[in-house]
Amino acid sequence: MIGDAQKPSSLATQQLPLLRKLPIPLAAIMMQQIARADRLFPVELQELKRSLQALASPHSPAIEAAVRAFAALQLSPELQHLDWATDPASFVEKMSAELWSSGQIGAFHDAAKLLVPATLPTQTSPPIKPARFVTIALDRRLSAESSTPSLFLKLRPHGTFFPNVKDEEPNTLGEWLSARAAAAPAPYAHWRLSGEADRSPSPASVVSLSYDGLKSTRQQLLARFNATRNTDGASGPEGLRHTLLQLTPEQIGLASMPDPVLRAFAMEIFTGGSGTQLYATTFVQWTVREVLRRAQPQTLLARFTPRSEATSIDLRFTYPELEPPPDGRGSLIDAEMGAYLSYLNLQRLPDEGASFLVWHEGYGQALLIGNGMPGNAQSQSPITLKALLRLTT
Amino acid sequence: MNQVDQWNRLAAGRSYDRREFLRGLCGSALATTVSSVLPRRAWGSAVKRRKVVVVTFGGGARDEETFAPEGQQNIPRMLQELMPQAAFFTQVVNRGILGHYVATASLATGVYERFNNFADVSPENPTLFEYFRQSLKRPASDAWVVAPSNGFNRIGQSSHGLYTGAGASVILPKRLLAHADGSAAFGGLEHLLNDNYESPIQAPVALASEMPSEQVASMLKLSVADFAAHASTLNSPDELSLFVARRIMREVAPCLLWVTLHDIDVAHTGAFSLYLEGIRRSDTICAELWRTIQSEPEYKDQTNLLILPDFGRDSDGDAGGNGFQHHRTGDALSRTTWMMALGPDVRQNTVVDRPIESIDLTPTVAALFGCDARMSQGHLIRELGL
Repeated sequence: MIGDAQKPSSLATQQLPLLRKLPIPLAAIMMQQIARADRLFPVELQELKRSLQALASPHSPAIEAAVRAFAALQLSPELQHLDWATDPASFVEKMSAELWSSGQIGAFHDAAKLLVPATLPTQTSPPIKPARFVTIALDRRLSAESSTPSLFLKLRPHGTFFPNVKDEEPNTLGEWLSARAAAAPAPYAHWRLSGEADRSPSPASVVSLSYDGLKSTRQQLLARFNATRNTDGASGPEGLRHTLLQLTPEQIGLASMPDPVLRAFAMEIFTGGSGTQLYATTFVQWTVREVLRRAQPQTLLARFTPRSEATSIDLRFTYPELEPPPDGRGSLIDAEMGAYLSYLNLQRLPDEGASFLVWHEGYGQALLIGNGMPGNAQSQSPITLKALLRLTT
Repeated sequence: MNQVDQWNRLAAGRSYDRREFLRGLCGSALATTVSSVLPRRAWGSAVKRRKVVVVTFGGGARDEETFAPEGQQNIPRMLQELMPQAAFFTQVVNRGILGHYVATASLATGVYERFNNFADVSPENPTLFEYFRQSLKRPASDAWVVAPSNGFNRIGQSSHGLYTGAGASVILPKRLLAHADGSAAFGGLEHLLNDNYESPIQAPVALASEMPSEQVASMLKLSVADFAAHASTLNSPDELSLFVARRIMREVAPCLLWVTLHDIDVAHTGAFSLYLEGIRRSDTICAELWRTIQSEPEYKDQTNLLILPDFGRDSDGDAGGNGFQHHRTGDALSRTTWMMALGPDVRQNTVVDRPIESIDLTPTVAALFGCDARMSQGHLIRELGL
């Protein structure tokens, strides 16, 4: 059995005999997860445990199929002789490049998909209470050319559109988030993400991250990019990737964040996400994706604020402290797509009954998806944001 | 269902969407047999004067943002000005590595190249430019590549021993604006210098066979300072490429010109609005290139223009990707794109629905010139009068 508090090193030692019996590509990706065990959210750790147990126990047909699919991948002799157990992250990087160049990346993805059922609970889990709810708020500075734009067109087939929404209280969404966190306190279950630092404090049970709040970290990372590219003999993207794999949160100013799991998560948003270091809208969209995929929270409140205007990446590297002026118009387009992708990511979670709300605080338009909300529908009746939040729960 | 079957099914579905949309838009005829799209006039006697301009989008564009109904607002000039004169191929499948340099190299060689996308290497297989120059004994000035970033500086010449020295002249317009270390040589032009969106850092690039900036500027009859002054009026690296391509057409008039656009790849930063701007800019540039072709006596009525993205981008529906941002999943939609062909060897206003592969481009263009891309693994696109 795998203990919750087990260190990655002892877990790796314990699981190595099992992993050595598996095809190398599968063993390497499992070892990569094990090596990160102390940086995983509770849900991820449970998934890892279930996967390892499924691979250790007599195989189900589905697991057998997954193992066979991994075994069918052809790795070069050079790669097979590399030590995947000691440095699985670097091994997986090299393996990924080789799978692309040998035309096997699709087969690898298919094999990985076969493994997904093994990560899911074997018994039907009771529905989470309160049901999962994601709210996306678009700051009023995100503006369109038109005075009354038609928002959320890509999402409208999935829910009910409300064009007349008023928010009559100063902190409706903050209070809604706090109430949900108080009603069902659990680690990493309630999140607040934003382009800008929170205007109102969140209770301790809410995990809060913002693009502005992580400004120093962003800038330190951009400075590292710049230093890496200016280093004599720099080895290009692969050298940068290797540098990032070795990076610790403390090296980019995250030491003050007390929670080691969150510290690592914040670092990975910037080292694993593309553009998260440059644009607030990208930061919010990508972080929503990663929070949903990894922490699987019960409540997520994300706020898109204006990103900076398009600026040469070269310039941003050279002057990491540069914060160009905002681009409200482009940000609205980014945020609308960000909301749509967030909904798709919510849909990928295994439970039913989740709610999704997106609203623009300036135009008073909202779209609600969830129980009792028909798709392709519209309600012209004026409604408050507070009332809207109660419609599906 | 195996992976290739799945790709084929999804690609065909996407093809259907494009075809139906275009039929509604342009009333395009659907070509069901090769004979139905043969050119209206024989071109054999004119082959010596034939010219070809290839434009690739080195930053894939998805249907949702281009030829699907919801994307049409982003490509008004391709739809309204070019499509009525074009043959449109609804299924161009790329089965290779989805990185822009290696994919563009694959288009240029007709073989799915397997090298590291970020490596400073030449394609292993002979390029279209080498087939063209060696077979027809053409000078270096007759085959040009205008490419976006430093990583493309070896695209014109393969490492194949049989074709040494027969490559294209490659011009990286931004090099004219930069010092050797990549920094801006002219104040205020930094925004045009860095466009490698796939990775924030580029591998060091050898400058082996590149022409000095002064030589290029001299050939184009443009001082580097004048060039920089003009560049300062431009918004993007692709506009710079258009400017240089036009200058090459005016001053050198090569028979084979290959332009790779790259602004669209700003999508890797995750800013959807900037990605759309890149598509709109590419739309304008393609239309302007066609106008230039029709206005330059050396090109008018004897030039085929072929436009195609090197590949697509990830679909919204693949959990392994992040929608438009990347092309990492290798899913069917990221591998399936389109091609537009215009010119004397093309029957106008036609939709070709059968699947072709991106590596079919090189043997086809070579054949349009009357030469054989003998090591290419692609097939002739017979709908182009071959």
